[in-house]
Amino acid sequence: MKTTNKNILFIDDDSTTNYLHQFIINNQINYDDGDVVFCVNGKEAIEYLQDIIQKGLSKMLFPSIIFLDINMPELNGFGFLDEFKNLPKESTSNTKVVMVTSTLNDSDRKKVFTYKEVKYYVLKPVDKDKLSKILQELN
Amino acid sequence: MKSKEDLIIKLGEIAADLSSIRDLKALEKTVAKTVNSIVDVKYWGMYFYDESTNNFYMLSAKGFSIEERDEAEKTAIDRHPGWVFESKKMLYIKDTLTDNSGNSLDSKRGFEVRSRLWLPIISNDKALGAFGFASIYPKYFNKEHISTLSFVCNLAGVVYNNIKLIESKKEQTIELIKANKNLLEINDSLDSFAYKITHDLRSPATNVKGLINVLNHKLKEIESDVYKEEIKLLDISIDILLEKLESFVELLKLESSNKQMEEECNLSDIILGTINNFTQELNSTGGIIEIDIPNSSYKLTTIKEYLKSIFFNLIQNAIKYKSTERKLIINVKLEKLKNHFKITISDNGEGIDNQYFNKLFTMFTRFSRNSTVGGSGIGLYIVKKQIDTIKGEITIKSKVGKGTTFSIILPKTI
Repeated sequence: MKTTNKNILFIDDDSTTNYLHQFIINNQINYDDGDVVFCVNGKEAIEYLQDIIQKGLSKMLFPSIIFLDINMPELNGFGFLDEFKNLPKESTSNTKVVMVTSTLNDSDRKKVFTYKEVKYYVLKPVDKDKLSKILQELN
Repeated sequence: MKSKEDLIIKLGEIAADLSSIRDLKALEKTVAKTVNSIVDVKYWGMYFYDESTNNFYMLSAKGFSIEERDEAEKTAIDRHPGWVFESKKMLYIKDTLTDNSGNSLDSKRGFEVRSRLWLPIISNDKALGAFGFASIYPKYFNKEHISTLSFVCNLAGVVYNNIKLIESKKEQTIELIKANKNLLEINDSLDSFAYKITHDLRSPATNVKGLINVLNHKLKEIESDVYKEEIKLLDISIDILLEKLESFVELLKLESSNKQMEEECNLSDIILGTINNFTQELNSTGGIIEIDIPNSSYKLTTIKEYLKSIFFNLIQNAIKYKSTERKLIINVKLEKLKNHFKITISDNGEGIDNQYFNKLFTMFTRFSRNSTVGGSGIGLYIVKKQIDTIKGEITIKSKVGKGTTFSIILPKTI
């Protein structure tokens, strides 16, 4: 099912990181191909996505790209991915995930790519160049 | 009285019995059996001195009820056992009825007991306890009894000492193992503690970097130069912080007890890959890298991460300490020797004075005439340690004002 909008979802518990990403995407890249939404942990994000699905608004609102932090309270990046797998395939099949993290140790790196939705990982800081490059490649 | 031969045989049997003993329970049993085979008395008590409680305890006794044993143990130090223990001398009361020495006074058995014998238990010239025997017959103990029982006491003393030594050794070993385990755990948690801190610090540091970019962007938009200098200095500071953090993490990995994995590496690929990291930076500063690497795939078995780190750090240094007077040229050459590979990284940078060579690979030392060059001073220390770990060698040639050449020799397998 094609999404008519290319919406982006950022999931990170750090408010400065979200601010920076929001600044880059709105002021530097001037993204206008879809909605840009921020959630502060995995649990909030899953609830947000479930809400969209329940209201039948997946076509319009479901994100096609998710930027996901690994270290978060309540439900971390891996926990989110486990829950994400359980969401209805009609909504999630086109979504690609990019792991964003300030550190990546060996075990995390291996684990990250066991989830087929994850296409890249990037190390923070995500700057304008990195972000545009990823958006270009995924869209 | 036995014959001499019988006596010798008897002593031999006693020795054999006692010397095979490994614990106190066995000692008690064997002593009881042995004493019974030597004398026929109504009462006896074998006392040992316990240093930790400053009192006696009875290892073996005959004719004592439990309360009597308790009582005897409590008072032993002030009575015959204590005296014999102190004096390390034998005490023989042939007949309590006619004894004028005062040694028979306040005896619990009263005059039911007519002859009493106490022998000190000594080993290594140190008194360990006392052994007392009481018979209802006067003058019961003869010379043979006394010699044989003394023999038993001496042997029992040696055996007892031995058992105690082994026990304390066992305890010590357990303590050592516990302490060792503790240390390993502390080490592990320090490792992960240090890691955690470094990783936790990286996050806000990269945030600051991002925010500086935002500031620059906003100022550019309004075409303002206000705070331009301060923001530039902020940027430099945060870069130094991030670099120090990276070095620290590398250092932790080096020092950690976990052994790094060895794998087959394609040396040419690794060198070229590392050089790639710097293309953008070189383009913007106008420097070039000349590559002299043969087409053949040179393989070597080693720690890949260390290889990458070594080349990265050396090239980064060449860029960092370039001369302000000329365009930077770095030359990277790879050669195959008989059992080794040789990598030469030379630059035309500011060079290093010879007198600093032996300090070059130590921690926190930097030699640069250019004071604006940032750096933590750990880079070459890490490089040296990594080269040491993969059993390689590094040498340096340099001339101030001309440039520097690092030569690295690596064995084909570690």
